[in-house]
Amino acid sequence: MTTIAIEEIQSPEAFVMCRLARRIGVNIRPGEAVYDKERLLWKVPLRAVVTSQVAPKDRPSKRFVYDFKNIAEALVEQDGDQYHMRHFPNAEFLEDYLVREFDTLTEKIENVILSYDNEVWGQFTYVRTFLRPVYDIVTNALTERKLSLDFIEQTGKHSGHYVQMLLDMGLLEIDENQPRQVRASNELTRLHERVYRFDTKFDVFNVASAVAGRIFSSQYRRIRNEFKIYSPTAYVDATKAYYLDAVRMGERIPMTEKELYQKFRIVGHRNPYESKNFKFKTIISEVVGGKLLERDADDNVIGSKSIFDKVMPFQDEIVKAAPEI
Amino acid sequence: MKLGTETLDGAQSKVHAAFQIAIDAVAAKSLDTLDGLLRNHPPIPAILIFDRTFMLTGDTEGSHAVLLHSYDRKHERVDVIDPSLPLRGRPSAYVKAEFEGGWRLLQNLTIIVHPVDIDIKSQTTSIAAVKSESLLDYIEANER
Repeated sequence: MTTIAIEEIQSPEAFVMCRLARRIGVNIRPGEAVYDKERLLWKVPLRAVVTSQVAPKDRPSKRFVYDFKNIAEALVEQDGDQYHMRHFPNAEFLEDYLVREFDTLTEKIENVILSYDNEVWGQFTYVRTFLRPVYDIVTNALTERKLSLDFIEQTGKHSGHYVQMLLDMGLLEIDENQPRQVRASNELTRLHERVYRFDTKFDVFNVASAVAGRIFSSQYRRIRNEFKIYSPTAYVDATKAYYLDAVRMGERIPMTEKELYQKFRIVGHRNPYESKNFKFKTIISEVVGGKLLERDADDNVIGSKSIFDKVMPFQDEIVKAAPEI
Repeated sequence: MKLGTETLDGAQSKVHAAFQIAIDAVAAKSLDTLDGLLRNHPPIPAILIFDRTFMLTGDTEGSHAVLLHSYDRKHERVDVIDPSLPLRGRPSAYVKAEFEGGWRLLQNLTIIVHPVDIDIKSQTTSIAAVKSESLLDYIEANER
């Protein structure tokens, strides 16, 4: 058996780096180790480095990096010239932490996008598919005079929660005489009238669509984190991915769909839910249809001016978190 | 018949073992220490992970992987196969001092892909328990 001996750097950082390369990846890197004299351990802070590139067609590309410091800590024990790992965070923990950090950083941009036109969200396919109980409840409340809670609870997994949301928003009200029954409130009737007045075609589904949009916009994080409904979040994350880079660059940059797809995978931390006839391109087309993004003459994606003006005040914060390299 | 089956199984397992590979991550002390890999017949590919942005511009936080082809000690030159360069599959030369700067930032991280019957043994040296200098200083001091 052939044996090749390789002399290695002996430091806690190098030891942790090798462990990271084996188990996590080189985007997580060790910081400078500090020796804890009380516990007789090396504490190695870990930081995450997420690079991003913006490549406008007519100008040189720019690269910048999101640097999240002290995301976790590895504890290394030293025994002579040997190191032993005492504690090492697993990949899931690091992933969750990074997702939280990124969400906190982009929360303000996300809020602007969600509240820009709260009724538009109900027009998107994934919202219509995955928030189906809301449509059932609203259409039934408008066509039937009264709606039984027992019936509603059979319509979907989170129907009870959706009814509570609609009650809190004042769109439904409980019948005083029959507590197990709800009916459309005056506000829902007013919304019905408004949609009837502006819509060419009278349809209760359009009212339900506006209501679902309001629920999605106001309860976005609850739907995502508590109900674990992730597919409709692709619309928010794709829009956010664009504006994050546009704010970083300080202008509405044209971006190809392919480039936006790559950004989305970083911001959304996943691939979008796609089927044979429903790809990421369809998601972008729907977002463009909802006027959250626009297209230029070359069919590139470009931001809406009114949204861009609202998110620009957060530029300092984003530039600080992701300096240019 | 039974014996034949056993022989066949044994032969299959031997063939299978010959194609088994292991992947090791090591923090090589310097390029000199990777000589053993290059001198082996056939040579074992060492994938060096380094900060290319630092090497080219002096800014940190990039990462890139290249395959170590050879190391010219006399001319202080590292020949690597860099998939991002136009000469794909052919070695390109980097200046050792510049390359090592970027490599050190990732703790000289080296990925070694080798057949399981070649053992990559880590030869360690001792280090003071309490650090009084930075890691880069330490490496520089130990390389002299």
